[in-house]
Amino acid sequence: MKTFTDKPLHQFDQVKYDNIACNLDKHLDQFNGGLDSNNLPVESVDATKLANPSVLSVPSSVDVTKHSTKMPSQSYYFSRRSNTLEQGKLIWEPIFETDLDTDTWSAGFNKLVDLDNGFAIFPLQFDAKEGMLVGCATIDWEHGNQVFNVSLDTEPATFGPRGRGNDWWSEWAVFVNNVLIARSGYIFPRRHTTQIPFAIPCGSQPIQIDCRVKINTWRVGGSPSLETTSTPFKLFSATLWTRNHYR
Amino acid sequence: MPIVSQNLWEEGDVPKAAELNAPYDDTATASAAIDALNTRDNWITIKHFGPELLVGGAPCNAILDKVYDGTSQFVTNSTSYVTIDSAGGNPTECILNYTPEQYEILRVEASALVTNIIAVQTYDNTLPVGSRGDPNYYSFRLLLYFNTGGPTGTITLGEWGYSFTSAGGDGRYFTGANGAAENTGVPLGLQTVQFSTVFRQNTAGTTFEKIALQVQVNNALNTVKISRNNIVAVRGKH
Repeated sequence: MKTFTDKPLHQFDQVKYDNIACNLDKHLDQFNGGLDSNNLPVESVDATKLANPSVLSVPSSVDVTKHSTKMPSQSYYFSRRSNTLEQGKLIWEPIFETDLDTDTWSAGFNKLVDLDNGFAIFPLQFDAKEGMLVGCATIDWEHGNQVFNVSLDTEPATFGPRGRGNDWWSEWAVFVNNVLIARSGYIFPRRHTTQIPFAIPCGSQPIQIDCRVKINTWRVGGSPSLETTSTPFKLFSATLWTRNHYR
Repeated sequence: MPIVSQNLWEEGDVPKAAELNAPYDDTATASAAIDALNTRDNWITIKHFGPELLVGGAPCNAILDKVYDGTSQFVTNSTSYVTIDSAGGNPTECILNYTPEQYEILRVEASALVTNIIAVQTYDNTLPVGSRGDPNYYSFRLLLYFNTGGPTGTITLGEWGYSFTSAGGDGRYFTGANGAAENTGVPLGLQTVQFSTVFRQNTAGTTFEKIALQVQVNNALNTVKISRNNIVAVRGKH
């Protein structure tokens, strides 16, 4: 917006209140909040004129590292619970291990906090600005495939080692405001670091992002020499970040 | 707060010179400190940005990378982290060489192709319960090199693990004590690995030098091989 003189004064005109006030009011109105890019010389703005990043306050704990950063064109939101960085463990040691034979879990998508309370504040929660959410979940986990001494299909019958649970699988997914927006597909037994990138448009609204896991397994048994069984599911670290790119 | 007010006069008032001059004087003073109060919403868009200054050539985000897209393999059985160097003499290090402002974002993503691994010992029943399956693991690390004017320091951006075979946990009964690969699950080679994280620099005056992609195995009898690999770093400033 640019302004112009509303009531020009001419030589020998009688000066009234309006002559003084209207023109000045118009200019001040522009100055007091009406300035825009029309008031700038072309190409006068560069990166050095932009505000530097600032920090947004987010809840944190000894279990979960979280931070948020606000910039002129975007914001970043980050959450991590790692065996090495938050827990002080070795990379080989899990944050938690659950026995799928005996512990409580759901056949649907499990929130991480339902598997371990340390993930209570892990989900990202923030007020987004209209634009895009672009982010990534990175989860280091293991759903083991056990090997047992089982009856082999031989004549006469013999026993030997055989992998059990080749039809076991796990699937990870990212949920935004409780809606599934990205999934990994089935991943078969192994220790695996799974990365799930996601992107979704958003309005100016409260946002919650978390990742959840769905597990398919069955109870191990049947070996004549088997004394105990376990079906371990381990989580080593989970990292979730998103960038809110303003429209 | 650069908001300028004006006197209100009624017909018949006789303004004084100082009163008439005040809005102009105040405007002159305030014009040196124009801020968000003086400007409209959306007063400027990214399209108005002039020539950019960030390393990598963008006004808000700069992208830096290190890509090895050949087929040579980096082979290691090291039980401590070593930087991947598939081609030899060309380690997987993404050169940064910039000094971020306070609270800048460094977003890092890496991926690699693990080829035909050699898994010899993936289980050890002489280890304590809870660790017997650990020989099956190998892991990657992204390491940030920085300096604050003195010697180079390092920060671990993250560590992520994988297994040589499909077996897992302590419950691998009836395997040999060492757990040779053929009876502790299916060897897993030719798979991609990938991970990402975000690091925030909380102080000013620190120079980021580079990021290295590193790998280690838990047990030296096992060998991991890596061919294609890369690091992508995004500097988020505005």
